[in-house]
Amino acid sequence: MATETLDVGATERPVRLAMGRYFSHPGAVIGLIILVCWILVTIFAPILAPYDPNELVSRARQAPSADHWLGTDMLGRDVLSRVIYGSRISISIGFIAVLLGGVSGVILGLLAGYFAGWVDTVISRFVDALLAFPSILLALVVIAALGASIQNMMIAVGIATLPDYARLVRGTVLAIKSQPYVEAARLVGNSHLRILARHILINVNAPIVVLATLQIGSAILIGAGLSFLGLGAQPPTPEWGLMSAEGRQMLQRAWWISTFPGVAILSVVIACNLVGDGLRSALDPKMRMG
Amino acid sequence: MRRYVLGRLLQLVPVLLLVSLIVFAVMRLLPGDPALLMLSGAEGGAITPERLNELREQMGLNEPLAAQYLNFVLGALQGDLGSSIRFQVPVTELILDRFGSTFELAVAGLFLAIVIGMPLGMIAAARQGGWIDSLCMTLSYIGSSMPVYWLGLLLVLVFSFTLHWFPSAGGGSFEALILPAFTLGLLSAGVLARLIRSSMLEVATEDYMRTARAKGLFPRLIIFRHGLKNAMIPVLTMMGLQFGALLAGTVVTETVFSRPGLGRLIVDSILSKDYPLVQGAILFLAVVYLLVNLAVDLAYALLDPRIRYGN
Amino acid sequence: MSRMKSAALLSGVASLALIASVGESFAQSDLIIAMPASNEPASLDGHIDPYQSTWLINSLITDPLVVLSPDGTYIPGLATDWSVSDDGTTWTFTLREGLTFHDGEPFNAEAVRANLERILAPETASAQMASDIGPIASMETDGETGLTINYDTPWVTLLDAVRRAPLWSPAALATAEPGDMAAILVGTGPFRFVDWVQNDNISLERWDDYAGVTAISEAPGPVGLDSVTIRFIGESAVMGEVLATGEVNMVYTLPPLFSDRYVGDSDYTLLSKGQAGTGLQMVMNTRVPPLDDVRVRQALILGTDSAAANDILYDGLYQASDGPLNNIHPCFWEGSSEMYPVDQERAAALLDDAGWVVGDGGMRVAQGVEGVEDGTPLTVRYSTLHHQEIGEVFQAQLRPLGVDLQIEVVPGPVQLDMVQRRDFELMYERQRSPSPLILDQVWNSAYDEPGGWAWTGYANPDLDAILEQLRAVFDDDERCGLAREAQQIIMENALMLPTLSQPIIVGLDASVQGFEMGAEGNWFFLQNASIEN
Repeated sequence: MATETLDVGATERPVRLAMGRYFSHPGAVIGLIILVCWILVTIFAPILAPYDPNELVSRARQAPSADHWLGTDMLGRDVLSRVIYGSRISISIGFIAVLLGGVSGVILGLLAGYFAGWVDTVISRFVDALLAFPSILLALVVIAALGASIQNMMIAVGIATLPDYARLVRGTVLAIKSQPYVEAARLVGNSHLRILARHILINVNAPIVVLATLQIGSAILIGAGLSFLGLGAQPPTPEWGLMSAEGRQMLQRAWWISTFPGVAILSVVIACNLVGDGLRSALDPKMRMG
Repeated sequence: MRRYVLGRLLQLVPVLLLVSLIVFAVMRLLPGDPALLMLSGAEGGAITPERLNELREQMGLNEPLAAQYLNFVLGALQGDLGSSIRFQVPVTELILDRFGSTFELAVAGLFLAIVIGMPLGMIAAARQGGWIDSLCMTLSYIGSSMPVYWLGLLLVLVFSFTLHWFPSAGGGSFEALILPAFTLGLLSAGVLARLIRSSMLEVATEDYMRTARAKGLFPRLIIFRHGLKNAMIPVLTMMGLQFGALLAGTVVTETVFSRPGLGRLIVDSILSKDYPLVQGAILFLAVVYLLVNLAVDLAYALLDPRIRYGN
Repeated sequence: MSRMKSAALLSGVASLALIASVGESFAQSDLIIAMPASNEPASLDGHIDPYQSTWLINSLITDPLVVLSPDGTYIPGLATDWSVSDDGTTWTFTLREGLTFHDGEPFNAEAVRANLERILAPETASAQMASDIGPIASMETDGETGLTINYDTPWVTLLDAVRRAPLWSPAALATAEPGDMAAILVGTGPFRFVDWVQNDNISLERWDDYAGVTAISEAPGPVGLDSVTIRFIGESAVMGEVLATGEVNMVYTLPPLFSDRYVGDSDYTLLSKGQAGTGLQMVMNTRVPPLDDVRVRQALILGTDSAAANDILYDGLYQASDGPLNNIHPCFWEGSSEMYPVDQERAAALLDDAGWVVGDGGMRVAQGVEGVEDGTPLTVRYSTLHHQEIGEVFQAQLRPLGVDLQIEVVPGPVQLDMVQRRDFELMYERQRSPSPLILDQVWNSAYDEPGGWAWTGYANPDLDAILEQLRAVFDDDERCGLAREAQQIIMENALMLPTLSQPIIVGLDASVQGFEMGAEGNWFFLQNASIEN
């Protein structure tokens, strides 16, 4: 199966098969639709949002109505507009954090798995040490050091997700690198970098994509949790976690302020999980989703 | 078995050293002088260069970094993690005071996760493909995709403010434990349900299951009898990881429910830059997490002897 | 076998029920108070800590020399009598006889002297009480009831300090480890300290030997409450509900938006008192751009509308605070209210004039501002401990003006650290006292020093001279006159951005009897309180 990747003609069919498997799961399809919708919302936020998300457009704490579909918040800002603009921030937190953690985790994993020896020992121990922290705690440590802001939160969440990639990639590389075609490439005199890129990375990308999709969901959750605790986005940023945090004072009298940003997070995270699980069963036929 | 246990314990040593190094390094990277923070933080009043230097000396901040790290590790081994800047009490004392409440919450959360997640996963597996399966899986996805604080707020709104069934804040009583435990447990229950379902279905395709089916055993019975036992191993590992997630989840849950636990202590100490407390509490939780995972690994080895030799 | 088991079980249930009913009859006089978590003190020793909440909790454990009664007059506490010499330098107190501390140590003039000496000792590092007690030159006692305190310069505000200064058993202070609150908090008051679970609660129990002889007690002897538990609650939604859910008997500082939940319900009583003082003010750092320019500072005041913020955020239940002293302060200067009406046009003109011109996207950028690179956007950083929502409303009000107000929420120690490093632009600061002396503390450039409370970097000899006289003038009207002059200078130079003043709303359920609010919202008395069902 691994050798097939070099043969273009042979890859076409597995891809189509995988797509077929993916689209046979209704859950995965629903997840993909939700995710695509949200991505469109982030792109067209200025067109979709009825008001400026930071302007006091109306009386504070108004219940949902025709003018304000999701009501107004503590200060009289339009909740719908803030949820729409908030998608840009919350979703990009997920993507950027996963990108940061993914790239550095993959590099560490590749190096550890490919070079073995002391490189492996050092990297593996380091990753083990990071794994000793439950992920939100690791993010908290980083925030404690860097201070609370959106950028630092992305870095923190990225670092928190890094060890999972490193471990996954290292294991896969160990399995692949003893394959005859990798040995052959080395004997022919290809550089390490070329072997890593052409022969190894290309074969670990499927599990990485699956992991990354699932991680986007959990990165969004961790990010929102940090903002909720006051350790992430700062006012007046329309970040979903922060919006829920601001509205919670008024939970009883104005439930809509906290509730809708929460629904938004819930839908994005569910979508990521559904798509991730769908990809997993599509790319790895042994794991059936049902 | 004894050799395996010893081996695993030895492997823990370098990890622990690295964990302590990470925590130490992060706290030293921080902007601001801990001694100055200590003076301006807890005591207020006049800050003179002499007092500052005296305190730096007393806190060991004038020594080289390597010596400081050594002192930190040696102190930690003897249970001395320094003093909290804000409360002026030994960090160890504060941590041990709070840990009971956090542990209680995490265990209660795990219990609920199992009680809710296992049946959900089993039912879904038994009814694979049907509407019951879809329903169980939808619930599981919702459960594991909710922000912790949001679920907590909703539970407070419904069960505390509206129905007045449970208190909305505080610790110490059984009633006060229920809502936070549900908040934590529902999230893990979702993850657990999906894991159990897929493990059981995976087992169902294996050879001995086919044999059992060929012998004419009723399919659902097979899944329960054989599938469950074999699905336990991955589930057990997952529970170790989930326990860590639960411990971490207490950070948010305790804040939402104003529970006096370790998680809330960490958040408060980060916000007020009480670094010795942050450092000590995070180190402590990391160690607990490592030990729980070790215990899970050992239980795993007991269940499946192949692991011991395979390692 | 099984029958025996169930019999045992039954008797077990019966005895449990018995315990429960006994427990209930005893539980009647336990007062449970909910307080916002932000009120939880850093330590509980009022000699050291500068927080109102510390002094409030101390006042339940130990009685002061004099009590500021609910009607705002000084009445006898542990001192029966006091007087001050005409030149304001010598104070004499006559103390009550035959009282003891919780540990049985006698209360006498030597004990008071030991406490005052501890407050003033540099190693105590008192954050505020030492400066309120002032530079005592010498103290004389007769060992029992007579105490004389001498100053080199007039010190007319001593009573305002001793009404707050807690008095602890000297024997306890001599042996207690620093930070061991159970050992330090040995007082003379109606309650003994039991425990403090940080982030959760403080518990106190009745002292059965309490004499109850201060002027605030209606009857001698121990108080009617068996215990007092103060629970710290972080969520304001929970603060708003705990009284209704029956988890507490009393909410101290009910969030205003929750008050209509209780108003008109005969099961609850709401009491509200203002807090004379500076109000919730934002002081300006005049050392660095953009706030080094008075025109920018004035534009900020003109561009913000605190009355609108009050309506939006608090249903108008907060109180106006238009100047350096709030509008309910006895020495408030009324000119503050007229000097800067809301006027966006004038604000815009001032900013243009100062070289901050409207750039792309409507936000202002520097053009020829001294010390600022051209094109730098006009941002003002506001750091606050709480009430960030006021900042958020101001943020929205200033945006059309092209000013970007950025808000950061910081905890107390971090605030002090920032002030220490002069690293701030707009900083939340609030002092609460009906005495105009707080103006001296906040605005006299002599206190622009480490640990001092004058943060703005503004120095004006005229202002300092006026403020210094506050400590020496006896006559209340004359002192208020000086305070008003000072307020005018502060407002003309736009050194602070006034916002609002927070009233304290206390909610009680019907079982609480005899609760008394202080003259200000920031303290109360439980000497005559009881719980009746």
